[in-house]
Amino acid sequence: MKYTALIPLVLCAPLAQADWYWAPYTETASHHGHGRGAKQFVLHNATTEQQPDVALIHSDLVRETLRLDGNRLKLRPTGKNNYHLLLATAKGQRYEYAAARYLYFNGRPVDTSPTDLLAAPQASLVLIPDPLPREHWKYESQKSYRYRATFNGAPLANQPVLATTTFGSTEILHTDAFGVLEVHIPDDFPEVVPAKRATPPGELKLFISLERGGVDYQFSLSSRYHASAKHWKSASAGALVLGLGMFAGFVVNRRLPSHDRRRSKVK
Amino acid sequence: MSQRFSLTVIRRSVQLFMFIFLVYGASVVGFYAADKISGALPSLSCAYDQMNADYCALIPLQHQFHHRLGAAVDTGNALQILMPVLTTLGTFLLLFVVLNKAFCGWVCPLGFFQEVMNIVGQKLGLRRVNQLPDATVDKIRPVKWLMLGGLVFGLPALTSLGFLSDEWGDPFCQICPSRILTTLMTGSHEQLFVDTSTPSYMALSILGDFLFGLVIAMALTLRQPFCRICPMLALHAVFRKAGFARLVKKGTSRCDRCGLCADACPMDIRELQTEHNHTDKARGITLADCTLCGRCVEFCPDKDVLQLRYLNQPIFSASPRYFKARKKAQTQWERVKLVEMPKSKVES
Repeated sequence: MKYTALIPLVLCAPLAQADWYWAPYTETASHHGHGRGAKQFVLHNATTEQQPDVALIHSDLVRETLRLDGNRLKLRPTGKNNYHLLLATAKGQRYEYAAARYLYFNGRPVDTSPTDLLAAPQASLVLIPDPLPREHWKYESQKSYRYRATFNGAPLANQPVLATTTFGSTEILHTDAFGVLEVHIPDDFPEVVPAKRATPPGELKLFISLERGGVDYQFSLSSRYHASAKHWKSASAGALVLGLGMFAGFVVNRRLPSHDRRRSKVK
Repeated sequence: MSQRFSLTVIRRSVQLFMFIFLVYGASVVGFYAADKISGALPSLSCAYDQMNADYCALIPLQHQFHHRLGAAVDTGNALQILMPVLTTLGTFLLLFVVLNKAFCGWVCPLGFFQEVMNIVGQKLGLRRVNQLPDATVDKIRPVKWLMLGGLVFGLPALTSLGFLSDEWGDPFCQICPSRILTTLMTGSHEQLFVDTSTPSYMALSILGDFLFGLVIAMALTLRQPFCRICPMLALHAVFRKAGFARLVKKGTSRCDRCGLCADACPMDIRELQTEHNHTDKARGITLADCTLCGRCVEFCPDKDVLQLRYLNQPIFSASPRYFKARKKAQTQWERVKLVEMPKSKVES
């Protein structure tokens, strides 16, 4: 991102008021044992006066109410497969705040799809991944991802969204005329170990806020992202090897022993 | 038979439909549904393709052996490995019962791609190798079992037990040509790479890219080069007696001298000619390498000697009339060439 120069602007903008977000509390490994084991999170910047209601919406849409320990939360596996939604909300006369994070658990299959989870009521102002990563896909630097911003279910066009990362990248993006936001995750890891899962992941935070009818709406969506595999995978070398394979194939083709069963029988 | 509606034309239409559905079908079944439909498809449809509609059984099988076997041995709880593997194989079997080995000949995207490349090679006038010598075929046949036992079960199991490093957890996917093919077909070159992170990943990625190049080039000359060593063919062979679709033969003494069925077979199954020749009732001849493409039935000149059956009911039988029309259509089709290459010394 071409972010650094924008930081003073961001600090002055009303967007900077949006500040609740979920983040992992301890990360012993980036792999999470393929979704098994407890996960711990912190709801940053939430105050006790706001009394956030915290819920985990399971992949089968069962809503489990949770209690924060301070600002922390420990989640046990639900035994259900697929995406769950961790949601903190607080609603007053003049504000409505929400922080969301999608979590993947392994377990028994459920009848509902992530599409149903994404459609589950969260808050008036929401930012929804479009789509959530699927098998063999994850958020990675140097790649672009789409989100949809809606207010009371209607697309929110030309709305500014603040995108920040744990490594200091910051940018103000805007939704398009259909409420679609495209985020290009920067390659801002201070150090990349050129191997799969070797670099600790970063955190991408998206903040959106809106004032309507004297009510301040704020929503945040956080997710981890990984170092781009381009650091240790070369597409041009891959193309070269493919070319060598084709060349070898043509050589083999010329030497391939041919056989005519019918002619050999006649002999 | 109308020359326009031979079994091969129908099969290629089905293959084209299935190729589009499996490679781009997420927009039909829903983006997330591919994770749910089965994950146990009996053909090479790759989960790395982010637009696919369903994916093949070899991914979960490798993951289960990689991630669960070690834990099951540590805890002494065999169910940790048995339950997921049996679930995957059970789902595979459920789908497999419907079409049997026809998943290879009618559904697999990589199989269709190789057939298309072979047509391209023929139209470009490249050298044709319609049959390999029996000795070569005999040498190739065990490779598919080594691929299944070694790459799908063996190496992931050894990785899980700590004998190998983590890179060897899904070695077949690392070298599978369908992974590169299907992702390239969606416009993504993400799976065409050389991975420099570790020597093992580098070796596997180079092998995968090289193999894909080899398959592209060889398919121009030889029919179904990768199918002959595909572990899915071996997995199908294990269950082939469970499927509803069958190839049966009621041979006669004429079969000893004919052999058109074996010539037509893209997998060089010579037993199509030599087995069940003096029998008074139809016997199953869905052999381990068979993909139920039906070409042998199309090119059999004798009435009802070869049949494709579903639930033991004949759905397509050999007939002299069909054979004549099919042979004429094939001759006309092969006469159409875009380029006429000079014949090499090997052929002359």
